[in-house]
Amino acid sequence: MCKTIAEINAKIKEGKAVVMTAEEIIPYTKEHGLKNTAKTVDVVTTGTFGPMCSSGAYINTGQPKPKIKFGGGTITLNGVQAYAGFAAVDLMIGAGALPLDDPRNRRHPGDFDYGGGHVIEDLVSGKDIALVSHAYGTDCYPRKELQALINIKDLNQAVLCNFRNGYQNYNVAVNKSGETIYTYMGILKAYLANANYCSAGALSPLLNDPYYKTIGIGTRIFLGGGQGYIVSAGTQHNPEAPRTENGVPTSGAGTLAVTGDLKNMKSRYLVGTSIIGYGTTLSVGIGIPIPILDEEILQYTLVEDKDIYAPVIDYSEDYPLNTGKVLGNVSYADLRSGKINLNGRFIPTAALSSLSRAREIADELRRSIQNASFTLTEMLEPLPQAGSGYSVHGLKERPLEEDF
Amino acid sequence: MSIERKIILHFSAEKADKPLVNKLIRDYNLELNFLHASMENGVGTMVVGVVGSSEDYDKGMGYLAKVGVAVEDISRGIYRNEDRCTGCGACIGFCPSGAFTLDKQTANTVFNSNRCISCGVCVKACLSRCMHRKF
Repeated sequence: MCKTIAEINAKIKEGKAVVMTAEEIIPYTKEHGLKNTAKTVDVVTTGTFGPMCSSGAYINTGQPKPKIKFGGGTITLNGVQAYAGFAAVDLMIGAGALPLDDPRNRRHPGDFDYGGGHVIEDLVSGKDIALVSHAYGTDCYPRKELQALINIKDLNQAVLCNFRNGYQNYNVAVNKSGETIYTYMGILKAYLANANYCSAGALSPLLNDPYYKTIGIGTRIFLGGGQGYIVSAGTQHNPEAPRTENGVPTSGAGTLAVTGDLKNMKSRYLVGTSIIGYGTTLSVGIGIPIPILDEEILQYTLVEDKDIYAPVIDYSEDYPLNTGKVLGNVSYADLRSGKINLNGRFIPTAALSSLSRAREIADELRRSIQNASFTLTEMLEPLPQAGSGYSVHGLKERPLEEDF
Repeated sequence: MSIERKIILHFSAEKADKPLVNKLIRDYNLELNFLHASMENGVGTMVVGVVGSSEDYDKGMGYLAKVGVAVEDISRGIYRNEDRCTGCGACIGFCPSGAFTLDKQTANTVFNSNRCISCGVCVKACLSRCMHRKF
């Protein structure tokens, strides 16, 4: 080991830390060599920005007079259904929540103009939000109805709480059927006419630390324009995904559960998102610093788009029916070129995640480390690793008739 | 005064053999840039960028009206709310006229409004809903 996190933090506080983005580090290492670069460079910053559906926020509104208990009742924010299953004035809203009267996919494809992701964006940008709650009333919380405007600045707490973010690699979606389909991977035209992907590739956090050697539970991160933390592996975290020699998974693998104070975040990095025919979600900006503790960790950050492969999956049949079939594998260099070659056929590509904003996040994180407003943390526990026996599996359906 | 417009011409199949375009160019001195043309079920559609003097433009449109071609002005059709565009590029894949391109240097998505045929596909397909109709 050539450095410790404590040593790097000391340099950050003196304003002497050498920080580069995961893009900048590649030419720099080519010029200066692995050994020298591992000594000179202290931190590599990564970034990603894209729709991340398992995102949400919990808030505590403070008690009105007389008091109310949301828990067990119903609650909406700007008409969007929120979850009222906690204590008196705690509530949670998920990115995919919709207004009760949204027509959804009744006329397919539905528009999904406004949902939970948009409520979170509006909240963060300081707009007033209309809260309506119906409660059953108790001796201690007698109130049965509350209709009020709330604003983030007046809330006791507003906390972003995302339990699956920052996917380490992801599918490329195509449609081999004869009709356009509307998926969470966007509009997919018939007969393989387009391919959509969603990853920051070589800038993406977990692709720069494929074995989770520095990114773990307790790691401080850039989250939605503020600072947040990794609380655990995300749902469906799958360290056992197949990997290439350089450790890079060739399909969706690790995920992160993250949290952070919404009051310090910016709506530029938390954008309410509408996916036609699918639903609403939240596009989240995440940046994670990787401390360059030794040459091995540096080596992982040198990953390039041409080294990262993603599986091409048919979303008309193979994905929904869970056949596990992969049509082919393509690199992010191919995906970014604007077209991929799938078994001799050229298919135009488009991204759902924003590379320009991922770059902006990696840059912003670099600047905040350089000016010492962001310091690194030691992880408290590593994320579940490959070989640890931790894996993800489908639901083994047990029909209700058997048990009830 | 020179003006620039983008228009859709709607006409029936019987008009297709009339030298409409030729007339506009030769008799009314208009510069035309063809963005889209189709003939389906006996209904013709042409999306055309037009440049010329305002006097010639008015006369040209008068001619089209006289021969029974309906003209729809879409010059101010679709615009982008730059603040809401995240630059993801999802629009590049489904825009039928190729109005969106990826700037490889900055990784930003560029909207070339002069290529836009105002079909509006992007309005509902954009993830952050940054594309809007002007009217």
